Amino acid sequence: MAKVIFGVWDGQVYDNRAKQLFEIEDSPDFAEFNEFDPGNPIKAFMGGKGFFVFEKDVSLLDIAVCYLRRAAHESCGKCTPCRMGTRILEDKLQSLREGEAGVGVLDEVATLAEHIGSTSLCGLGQTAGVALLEMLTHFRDELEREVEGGARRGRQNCTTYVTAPCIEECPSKVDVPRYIDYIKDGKFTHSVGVVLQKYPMAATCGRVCVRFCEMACRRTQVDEAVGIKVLKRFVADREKYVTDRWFTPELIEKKQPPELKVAVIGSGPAGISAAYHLLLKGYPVEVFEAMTEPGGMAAVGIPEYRLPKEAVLRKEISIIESLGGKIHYNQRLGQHFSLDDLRDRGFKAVFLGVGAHKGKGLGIPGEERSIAGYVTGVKFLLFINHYHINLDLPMELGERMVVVGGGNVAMDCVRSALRMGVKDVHLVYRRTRESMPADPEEIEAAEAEGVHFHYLTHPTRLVTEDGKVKAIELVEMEQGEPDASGRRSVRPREGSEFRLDCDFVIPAIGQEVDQRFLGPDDGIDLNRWGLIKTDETTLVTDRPGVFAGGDAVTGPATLIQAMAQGERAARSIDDYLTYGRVRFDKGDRFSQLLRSIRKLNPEYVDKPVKHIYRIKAQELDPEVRKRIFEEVEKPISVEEAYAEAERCMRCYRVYSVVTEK
Amino acid sequence: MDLIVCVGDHCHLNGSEMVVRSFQDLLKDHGLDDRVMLKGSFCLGKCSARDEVAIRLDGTVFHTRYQDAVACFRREIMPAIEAQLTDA
Repeated sequence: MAKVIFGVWDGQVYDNRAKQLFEIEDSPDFAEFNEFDPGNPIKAFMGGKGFFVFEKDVSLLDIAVCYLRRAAHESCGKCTPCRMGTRILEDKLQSLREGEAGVGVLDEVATLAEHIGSTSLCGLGQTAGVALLEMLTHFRDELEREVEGGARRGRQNCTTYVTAPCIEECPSKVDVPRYIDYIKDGKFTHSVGVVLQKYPMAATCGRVCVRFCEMACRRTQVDEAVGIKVLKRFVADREKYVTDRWFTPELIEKKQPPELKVAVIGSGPAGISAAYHLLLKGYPVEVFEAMTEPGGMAAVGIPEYRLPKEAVLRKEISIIESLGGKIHYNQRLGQHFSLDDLRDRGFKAVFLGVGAHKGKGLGIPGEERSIAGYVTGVKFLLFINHYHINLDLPMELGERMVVVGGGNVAMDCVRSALRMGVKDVHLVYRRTRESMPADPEEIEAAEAEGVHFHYLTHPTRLVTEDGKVKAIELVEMEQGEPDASGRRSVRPREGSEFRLDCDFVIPAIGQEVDQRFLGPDDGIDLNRWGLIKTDETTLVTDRPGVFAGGDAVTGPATLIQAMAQGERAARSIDDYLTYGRVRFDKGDRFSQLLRSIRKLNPEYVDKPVKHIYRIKAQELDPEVRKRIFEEVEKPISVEEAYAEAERCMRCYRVYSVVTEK
Repeated sequence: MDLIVCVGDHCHLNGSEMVVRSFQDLLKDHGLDDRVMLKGSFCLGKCSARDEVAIRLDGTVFHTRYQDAVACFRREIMPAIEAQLTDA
């Protein structure tokens, strides 16, 4: 475990200089800080809240120079303190490091760092001098000794990384403040471009993303998170960027040899994102899709009123074809071809993005195959999309429907059912409203549209007659004590059983990987949850040349996580085809370090900010929308977009590590 | 009158989509699309052990392979529809 010799983080001073290194107590907080990459110890770390020194003979001046150089490089230049201040600061530190200036200059450095922090307009400038000031306040003697010693300690290996809380929380690491900046400037094309660097489905993501970024937004501590999602949708819709003009094979800078063919299994968010990045890296890519339309869970699992398929999703997926990729439909792995077939057809690498499409059953008596009026949530959404929306086929769903579950799939099911003309829609969930995993917006929308919610209720038996659903037997639950994770257990309350007559029951309690894609000799291992076993970061499976990502690896998760894994797998495949192995990635590593350092303190806002509440996207009236599949959320206006973009505080932070090699 | 095509898991894999498409066309060709309502259902509870799709017209259940959908419509379903229309 790395030993902190001295340092400051968020105002807390660590000083173990009087002790021998082996006497310093181990702290689990620094378990990650042993090595940067294998065999390469971390000697020091510097960030937006302070710094740590882990080994003797680290030059503080050098790490500060390196840190400020990156800050100056990142400065957008719109405010003088940050644009000029960081440069001057870097120069002064450099002359100190080179022995050209005396101890007196340290005072100038302190004043300058203080000024940059107090007068810069955004998070980048406001934090650029923090660590340096902490050094000067608490460990000035170390800096003076270094300056007076005059002996230049040689350049150190310094690696820097720039991020922001929203970027760090985003699985795809989209540069959120940057695309919002471009909106402020009215450069909408540039703004979409920032998103397109990470994935091709910007308008899709702008509609259905779960927004890890907004949860991490520091603005939540002032008023409300910045409307990152609506802004993304705004630029993506407005630019109608999915044109053949933007995406042509000429966009690909370096073509790879034609024999380095890559097969992508599944055209869901993970597969499309992997194909996109592989195509941009110059590989010939063929996508194999089991169904007749592309998009995977995004196409069949998200209702039309949240994501228009023809106008948005399919257009964005067509980018793959514009870039020269091929998509084969009706090609199911394990049925029409095997992994060995792909190898024999000359594919050098395979990405498995098969998803988790199999709905879990309730595990209660009465639940067998082929009962009329019983279908799992994912299947329900899939078939509604396939038959009702695409083929315009009315569906026989009965008068009263019961959906079991509390996630977004359950919400999608109840809201879709209303739109299909089911009069009486009930939702059964075994815990309370507060512990529902669905988005609060989705729950509110379902309530507004007239769904009957039964909380703390659990099904016990499915009542059928002549192969048809007749009713569901339910029991009320009561809450017990909170467990270690803070979640309260629930148990059935005796004697509270009741029966709800209905003609349709939908379990929407989770999905799993449909394992039929695997043959016995495929050499792909599954873990105990039935998910494809991969290396967590590199997404390498047990079979050489085969990589996997998306729901098939993570279990049912989100669009953005799947797209992030697709992109990560594309990098791994590129490494594999170029070097024969997956190489170390410093971005991944920095993210790990930041996750562990964040345990020391939460992000907070320490400078006063004017309260401006976020704009509300207009929605169709619940009475109107519950009858139709038209998109519920309406786009925002240009004025609203400008106003919303202004709310971003640009919480950029620079981090750097000094390593041995 | 409702003509219901099963689009459940089993029938879907056996080609419900193609059956729906042919029936939509056939009903229109015969000028029946205003009197016979084509609907989908998630399982009629009459899954065929073979690779067939289940279809129900009122109480009667038919089975057909999707390749034989047109023949089945002409041979079995059309007479049933006509019989009912005359009854009514």
